[in-house]
Amino acid sequence: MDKQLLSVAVVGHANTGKTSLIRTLLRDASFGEIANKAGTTRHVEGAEIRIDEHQNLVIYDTPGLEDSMHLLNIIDNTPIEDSKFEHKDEIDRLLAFIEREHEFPELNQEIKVLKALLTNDLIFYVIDVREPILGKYRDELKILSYAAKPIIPVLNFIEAGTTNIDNWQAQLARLHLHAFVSFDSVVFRFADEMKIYHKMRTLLAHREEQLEALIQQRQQQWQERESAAQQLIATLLVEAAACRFKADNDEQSISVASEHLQTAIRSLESQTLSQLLALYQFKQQDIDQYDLPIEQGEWELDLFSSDNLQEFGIKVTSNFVKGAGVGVAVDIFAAGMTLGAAAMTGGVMGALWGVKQRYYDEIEASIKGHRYLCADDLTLHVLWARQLSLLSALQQRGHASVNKLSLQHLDSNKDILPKYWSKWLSRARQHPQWVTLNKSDQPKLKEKKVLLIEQITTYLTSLKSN
Amino acid sequence: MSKGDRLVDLYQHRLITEGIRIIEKPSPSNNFNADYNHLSFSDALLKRTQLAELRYQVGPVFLHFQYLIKLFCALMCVVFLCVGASSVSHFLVSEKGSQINFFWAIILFIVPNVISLIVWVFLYFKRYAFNFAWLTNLSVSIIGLLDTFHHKVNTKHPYYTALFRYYFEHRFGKYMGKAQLSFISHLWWSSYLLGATLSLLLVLATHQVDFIWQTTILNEGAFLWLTQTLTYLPELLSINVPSPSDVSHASIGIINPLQAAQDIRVSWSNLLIFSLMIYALLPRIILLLTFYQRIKSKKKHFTIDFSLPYYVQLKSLLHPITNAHFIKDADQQKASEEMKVNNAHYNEALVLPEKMYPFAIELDEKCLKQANSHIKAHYEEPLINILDNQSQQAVLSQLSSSKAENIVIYVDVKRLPDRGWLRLVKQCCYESNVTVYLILLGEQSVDVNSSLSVRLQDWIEIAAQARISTENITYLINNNSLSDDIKNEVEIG
Ligand SMILES: Nc1nc2c(ncn2[C@@H]2O[C@H](COP(=O)(O)OP(=O)(O)O)[C@@H](O)[C@H]2O)c(=O)[nH]1
Ligand SMILES: [Mg+2]
Repeated sequence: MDKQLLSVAVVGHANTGKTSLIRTLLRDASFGEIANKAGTTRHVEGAEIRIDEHQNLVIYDTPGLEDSMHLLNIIDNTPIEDSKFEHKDEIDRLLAFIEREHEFPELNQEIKVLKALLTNDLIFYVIDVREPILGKYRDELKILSYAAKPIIPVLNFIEAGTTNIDNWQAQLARLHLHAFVSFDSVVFRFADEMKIYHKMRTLLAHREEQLEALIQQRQQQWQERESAAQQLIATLLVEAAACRFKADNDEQSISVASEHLQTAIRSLESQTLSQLLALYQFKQQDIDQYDLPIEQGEWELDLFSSDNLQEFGIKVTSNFVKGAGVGVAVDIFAAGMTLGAAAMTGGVMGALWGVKQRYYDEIEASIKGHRYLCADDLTLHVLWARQLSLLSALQQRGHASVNKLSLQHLDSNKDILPKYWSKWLSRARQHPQWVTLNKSDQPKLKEKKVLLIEQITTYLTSLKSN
Repeated sequence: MSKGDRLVDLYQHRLITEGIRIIEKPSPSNNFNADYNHLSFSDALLKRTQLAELRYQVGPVFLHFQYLIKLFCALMCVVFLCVGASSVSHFLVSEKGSQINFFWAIILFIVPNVISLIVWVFLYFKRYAFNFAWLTNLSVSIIGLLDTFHHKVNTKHPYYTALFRYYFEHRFGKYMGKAQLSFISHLWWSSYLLGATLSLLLVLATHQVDFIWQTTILNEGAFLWLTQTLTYLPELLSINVPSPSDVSHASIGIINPLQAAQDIRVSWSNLLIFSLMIYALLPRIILLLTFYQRIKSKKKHFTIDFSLPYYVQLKSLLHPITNAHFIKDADQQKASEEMKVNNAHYNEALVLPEKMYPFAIELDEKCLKQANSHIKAHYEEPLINILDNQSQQAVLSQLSSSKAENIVIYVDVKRLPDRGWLRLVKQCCYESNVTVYLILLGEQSVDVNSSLSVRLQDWIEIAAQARISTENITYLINNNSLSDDIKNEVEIG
């Protein structure tokens, strides 16, 4: 099957982030080489972005234009009197110059860029907005204009160079480049990426369908990923809350059980972490590049360590860490209430049996002087916040400080908790069978668990859209 | 292969895909590579399932479960059939075997059936009705028991339990559970009623019985009304049924003349068998067939929830955003021309020569001021700052006319040296005896700022390429309070 190709060349001065931009668009940190110096990229390197089974977008990385003044001088002085150049325009001038490429070995890299300019459908001109607008950049743009291809200026480094954006914008407008997009490969925003594709669609009207398909596909993928990630977080919350361990009513037994509990929750969290990383295709390479507080697939700070708690604004002296550890006993009273209600409404043999099965463990435990330990609200809260901030860091492929993101004033600020938070938790706590590691002979059907997870996911989605 | 077969096939495939998900949980393995690029996601998934199934062998396990459930249902069918059959001889036929209480027969077979239908309707339209813990556990344990008695699978699949849990959830969970359980309950009731009807036929064929009715507290009217309602349909179909007078005569102790009695017996038995078949068995069988169809269509329309994290991951595994990098225009030049300088070495006490031509490259205002104040002592004209082609040409022409043997270049250490810079410097060395001095301007010591020290390194490297000796390079810090002493060292001789 022949694939329909649409191709883009990424050009610009050295070290403006061309290769970084492509890596971000490809979500592939293995593409090309990146270094904070000139002349890193030496080949013209291409990669395909899959649109669907019939269509691709090919994107080419080019070496940086580093000597545009010299290049422009030479191009402008290239004769095009030869009869084979029938148009005698700038494109012919470029062609004539390329014919003589062996005469200018020092411009070898620039010539590669010129060839890329002439052979692709569209040009991304990447600008480091932190830079002053120098003559050499104007010369670069002039050379680009010779190729008579649609150009999208991409203002890169916008996080660091906000103040200079207007200057660049004015300069670009003077060169008839009104449609620009701003981007930051390091502090990534999905909306910015979409803007690039939207601009492409506007500029390449004859490729509109193809680009529309690309936009649709990327958007769908982004949303699918996000909701899958939210599902994972919701599942973690539910399972961590449902986790429980039985202990006798004495110090030692309680501390053993709470140790078990911590281990169990830790392992649930670590599973979620690896799934989230896999979902966003974060490899060790990216983790290093973006300084995530993750070490070999594990959080650097243990969930229960006092350092981690401090990151989330919890004072280590609070009774949370004192006493019997994280675990608190399940409230048997709540269970009793439900027991009565169920007996009232049920009234059927089956329902009674169900109730017996459902609360048997708790009732037996309270009679025999045992108790059940499960994670307390604060632990779950920290767990929750930590995953959410990880998610937003993953979505920015980025620098966002994962721990310090959202939970500065955890104790004081109650309203950042979801409205139904405690309802969710108590529901999960009443269903120990939702975690496979709890050995419970309660029914295995997951319908209600799925429902609760769905509810929490919906909450997260609504949070995002606001 | 017919269309129906293919649909069933597709269902099996999807089920196997789900089974593979259960095995691979939480993340899909990337061992099953193939060329998925030209396929849509669902086709690619199908292909992957086929590949993965070669290893995981989920299909046979599911078939086994299916068989177990079928076996369980069939066994229960037989049990109910027997119960139905034996209930006729147990409860209906009196000890002497010559009388059947019609009222009792109706109550025994039709009333419970109607009540259970009502309960079923109620449960069917109520959410979560089938989430009975005990029911689930009971069936699971019975099926498990069957499995142990049934030694067909001697080496168990390593994921047997997990797969069973999934399969059970699939068959009796949210998606198909109601249809499935309805089907099963109608099936069992049908077997019960069928057993009863058959054994009733058998009893009536081999015994001569009289139909009577007995009551202590009900009056005759109620009984009349009941029989009349029951006889309404068969009369329409002109089947011989008891007339109202027969009914009132059928109370205990009234013995009819022989011939008339035989007729009445036949009409009573007609009514009983007809009622059993039409009012009990037939609705059950209709419902049975309906739910059979419903399950079939549920299977046909069974789709996988692609929004699960597993499938989202699988999607990007089968269809990565990019799957091919290629070099289009390779670099022909050898990378060896680059000179690596291992440590950023420069001359802290650089002494500038007497006669020289200084200029600056791409300095911002602040740096230019710094450069000008530095050169002031020695060189009266302001520096030319090369920013574009024009200024570059100006410098080059001034340079060649001045015949200077020493060139001093001011640059900002923060800026990135590039090939353009290198070319310019090389172009400045128009004669072989020209010496180039490089003065790097900065605001901080490189020890303080690591990115600055990297840049310094870059400058020293590129200077080496331009054949500027490290003796002729210096780094000037424009921080009055901090760097006075360093500044003093750079004297202009
Ligand atoms: N903060 C920030 N750094 C960037 C951005 N884009 C690129 N970089 C960094 O800039 C340097 C040069 O990037 P590179 O992609 O090699 O530029 P190229 O030479 O144009 O291909 C690398 O150190 C990148 O990490 C950006 O948008 N923001
Ligand atoms: Mg590059």
